[in-house]
Amino acid sequence: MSSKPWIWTERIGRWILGVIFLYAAITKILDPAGFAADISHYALLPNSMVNATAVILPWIEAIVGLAMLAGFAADGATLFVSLILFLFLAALGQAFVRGLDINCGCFGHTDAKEGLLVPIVRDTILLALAAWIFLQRIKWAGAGVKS
Amino acid sequence: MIRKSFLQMLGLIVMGTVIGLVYNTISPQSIPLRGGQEARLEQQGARTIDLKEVRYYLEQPGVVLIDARSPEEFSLGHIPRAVNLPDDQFVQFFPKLKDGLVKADLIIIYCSGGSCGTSEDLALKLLKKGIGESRIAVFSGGLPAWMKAKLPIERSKDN
Repeated sequence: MSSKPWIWTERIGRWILGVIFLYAAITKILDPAGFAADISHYALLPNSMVNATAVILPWIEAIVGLAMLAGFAADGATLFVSLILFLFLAALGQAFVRGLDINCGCFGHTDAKEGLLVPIVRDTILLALAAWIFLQRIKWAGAGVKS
Repeated sequence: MIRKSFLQMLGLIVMGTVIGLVYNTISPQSIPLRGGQEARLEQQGARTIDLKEVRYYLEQPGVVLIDARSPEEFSLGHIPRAVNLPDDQFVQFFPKLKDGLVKADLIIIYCSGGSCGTSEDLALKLLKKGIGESRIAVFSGGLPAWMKAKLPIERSKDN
């Protein structure tokens, strides 16, 4: 599965994830206090780590998003995207199971009640895409295919 | 390949961390790195208070106590004297409470305690509206701390 259509599928998938991560990062960078409040609503991190996470995580997402778009350090960027989406999904899942009435905060702080089901479905699809891209890249690297 | 991916990922994480920290020192939206809710509230001109302080202030005139939870939760039980200003229905509820809040000497906000977060959100909204600068306090223990101390609860169908 290393023919040209699949290489283009991987490339377009990576660009889609890159744009989504970059957009999500910018919305959070513009409102770190709002993102910090969203993080604290999940009740997962110790209070002392909430602000630092709200400051740092969006910039990592931005750098990773750019890397996905540019194809620079794309293996590491895809691995990060897969792992972070898995963590986001776990955080959303536990909040959903616990019945927390919170917003996802995935694309910045919002007052509109969006629920958690849509973000869970969206994250699952994106995680599947990211994991597929990462596994394809490993496979192609092993076969000496340039992606 | 896996090792290379991990190293690349670490490089991206370090790069993002450094840029994030530098940006936070120069950004007008910068937040205190250390701490969480208390530090953010303090930066915005609000503070957190505990049960003892809440009990003291509730005996003073000019204090408005706000329950930031939903109307349904509020009607099931709230701290006596509290008025309901649900964080997620701010636009609908705020106009009828605005005059009282402008005149208040101190506005105390609470929700379901712990990390319920809605008190902080509401405090920030009021501050953005220019209400209560240096006069807003968040009761961090919220209703659970009040109930744990076996203090009276009021039930109502409305404000």
